[in-house]
Amino acid sequence: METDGLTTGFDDADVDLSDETQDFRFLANITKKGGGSIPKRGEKDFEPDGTNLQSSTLDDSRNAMFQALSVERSHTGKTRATATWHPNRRLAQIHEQRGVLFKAMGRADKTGTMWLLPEELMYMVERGSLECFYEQDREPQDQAELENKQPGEGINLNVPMSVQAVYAAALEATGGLERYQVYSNLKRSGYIVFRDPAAQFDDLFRNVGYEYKAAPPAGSRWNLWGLGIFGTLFNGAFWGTGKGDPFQSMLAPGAYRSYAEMYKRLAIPKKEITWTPTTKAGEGGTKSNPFTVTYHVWKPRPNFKKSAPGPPDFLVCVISTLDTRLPSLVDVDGLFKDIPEVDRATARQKGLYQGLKEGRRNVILATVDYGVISYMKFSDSRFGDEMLEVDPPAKGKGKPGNKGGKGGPAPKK
Amino acid sequence: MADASTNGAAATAGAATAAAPPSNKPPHSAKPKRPNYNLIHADPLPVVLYHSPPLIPHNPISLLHHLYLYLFPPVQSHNVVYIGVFSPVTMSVEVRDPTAVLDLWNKGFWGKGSLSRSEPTWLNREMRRLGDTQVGETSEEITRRRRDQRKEMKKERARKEKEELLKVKEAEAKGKEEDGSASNGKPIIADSKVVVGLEAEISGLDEPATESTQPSLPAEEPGLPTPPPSSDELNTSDSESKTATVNIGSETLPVSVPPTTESPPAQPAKVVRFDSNTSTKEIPVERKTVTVQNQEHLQLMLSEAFFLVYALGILAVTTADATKPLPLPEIFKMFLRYSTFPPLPESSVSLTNLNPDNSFLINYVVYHHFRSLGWVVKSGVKFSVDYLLYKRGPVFSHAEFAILIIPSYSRWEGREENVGKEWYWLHSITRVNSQVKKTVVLVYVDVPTADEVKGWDCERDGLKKVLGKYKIREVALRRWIPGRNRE
Repeated sequence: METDGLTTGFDDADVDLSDETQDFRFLANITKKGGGSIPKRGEKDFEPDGTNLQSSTLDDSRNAMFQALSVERSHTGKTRATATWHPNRRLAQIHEQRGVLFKAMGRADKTGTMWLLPEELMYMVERGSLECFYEQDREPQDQAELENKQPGEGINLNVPMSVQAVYAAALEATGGLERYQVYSNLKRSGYIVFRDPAAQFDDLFRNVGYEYKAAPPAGSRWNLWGLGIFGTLFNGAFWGTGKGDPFQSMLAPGAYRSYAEMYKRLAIPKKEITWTPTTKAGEGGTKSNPFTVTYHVWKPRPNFKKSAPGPPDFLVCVISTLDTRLPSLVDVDGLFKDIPEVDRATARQKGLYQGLKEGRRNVILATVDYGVISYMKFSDSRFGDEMLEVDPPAKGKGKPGNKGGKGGPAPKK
Repeated sequence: MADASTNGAAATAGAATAAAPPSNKPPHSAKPKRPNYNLIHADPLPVVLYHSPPLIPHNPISLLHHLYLYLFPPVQSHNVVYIGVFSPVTMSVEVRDPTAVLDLWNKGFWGKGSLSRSEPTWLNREMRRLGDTQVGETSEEITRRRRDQRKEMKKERARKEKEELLKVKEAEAKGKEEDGSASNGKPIIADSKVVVGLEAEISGLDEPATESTQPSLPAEEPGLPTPPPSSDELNTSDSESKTATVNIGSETLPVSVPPTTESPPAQPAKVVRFDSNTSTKEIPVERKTVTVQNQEHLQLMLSEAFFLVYALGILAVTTADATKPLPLPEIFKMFLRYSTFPPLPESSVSLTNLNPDNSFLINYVVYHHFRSLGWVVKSGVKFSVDYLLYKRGPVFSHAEFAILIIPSYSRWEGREENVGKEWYWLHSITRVNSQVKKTVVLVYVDVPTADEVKGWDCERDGLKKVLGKYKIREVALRRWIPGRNRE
């Protein structure tokens, strides 16, 4: 029951199991059998109950964790992947592609050389899938020289980089620690993550094979209500600017055949205003506005193609609690503005509630608070487009045509 | 006042029973029949519909008749105007006339009972407490019973856990006696057994809850009217609820059995028992009617009251010392003043120099916005938000959306936005609301500047135009969990 807060069981979509401490015994199962499923969690033990059963369970779990951590990680020469960090270009060059991770990472230029973004490099190095070297040679003077160079030619592999060194070299180019934390969190969760093409600093990555930006709106006016010119005409015709009672009741006494008719009169006239939210500070430079899409995220899928990924499943905006608070209306508008939206019918397909919750478009705000990430989906809901059914449903025997009004179009399920 | 309230009592009781016609055949179901809410709450507004004769296009008389009706519509919609009294102490409008209270609750769920959680049920509760068998169970009682059941369930679960623990301890002690080392594999099996048993129990415990969250079958599902949720009783009803609980143990269960049998001549002395130790078998099932004076009134939020006064024109507001209804401008001014606590000084509120950044005005704009879209809007103070949105009404389904008003000053020169609205503030609100399965909706209200609304008080429909200058944009929030969105 909602009031008691008891219903929140394990099946609740809002319960994040990763919030809880892991029972590491499942690791033992996985390492032993080389697979297996993650077991369901049992009851939480809050205090020692004095039984051997509890303490041995705890010991088992602890040992499983130590065991998992103590496994020596190694890779054979065959799967060894190496890269070189180019500080000037702020990208890493891959020497040979090995492993499945490259299916959803990196990008090849015209010569076939594979390049990694700084966050991709950091992620790979951190998880031990890649060894990175610092290039000591002088950097090529220009793009042409770089591309003419044969892969592997003239590169010294003699300065290996530690994880710390990779962090030091590449972190700034990722856009900040918070962004990298969200990136690696999403990657570890299995998602395919790319930067928003507009935020790419290198041309190589800017060109993507899918539509991700909404067509610019026809008018520059700020359209909150979507009434357009008809609304203006409608309002103008009914209003005039005569003198009279400013408190005129919205529902004059009279004969109303349906409640929908009454509700139509109760609606606040939706007059547009000529005002653009861009006038205020904060919108000017894209750098200063933290509320922009940072990552495009795809659900993991086996047939993912870097070259033709299709439109992303989620858009993520990374922000830090240190320098932001709840976005203002202008921020929200700026965030939604460029995202293509679905039409009302598509949104309604999932039902009234779900349609309003998902909205016409949405952005996930990843709020990073000193390394703790909280994801929250902000959806452009448009309650104003959904008039609920207000008249009682017509009786089966009665005249359905007499119902009148255009309440909610969909009959209740 | 006394006879008026008893009338009201009869009316309330009448509505409850009339809706669920007490058939002569004794219904032998365990749960009492739920009133037909579809019938009681058929009207979404306390305004009367006009049922015109059907239009027959090829009949000239019918056409003429309709033309006449079009030109001179019969004024039917507002045949009553209810009276409310503004109370500066509670900063709300009180409605005391029982028919008005009933109408306002049944047609659009306006206000709340001053001694009840939501629907004004104090009189019914009191009558039931005194042994009246004609009054149906109130939602407060149902909720309390459900909570008691849950409490029992938890006690039982704790007891079982303890038992299980003892068993384990005994087994371990025995094992120690037999040989020094306890085996490792066996206890884990026992562990999982406990867990499975407990899980089954938990799912049993949650069953009524999941049942009631299905709003699709409101009529078929008996015994669980879903009242507007509240975890706490009102402070004012504390003493009342305490006295009630003394008797509830002995009386609730037997009384909830529908009074089916035609009773022999009454033995009225036996009905009211203040001794909680009385055995339940002795409670008689015969009919009994009790007369109680109603102590409860309906409380309207300022936004609700203003909607009824201004938008619908169905309510007149007076004050305790006024003799006749106040004119609308005065009501408006009063509400603007009482939008904060302590109220704004009289001199600071002016209609000519209206300050659009008034919290009553902002709240009213949002209230009006959602009301006019067909939602039933109730106060969200219990869930740390401004409003709750119900589809059709609180008896039909739980509120799905929790409205958080965010005033926005994008048109104001040099004014900082969202001062104090840090992330932890938002997270705490969304956490509270996701626990009760509500979606928090940020409702941005772009407030016009004072210049934009200047001159409104001389124009026809001036207030309507002022309201139209506020821009509303809704942003629904939902926690997103990476582990749960992969497929």
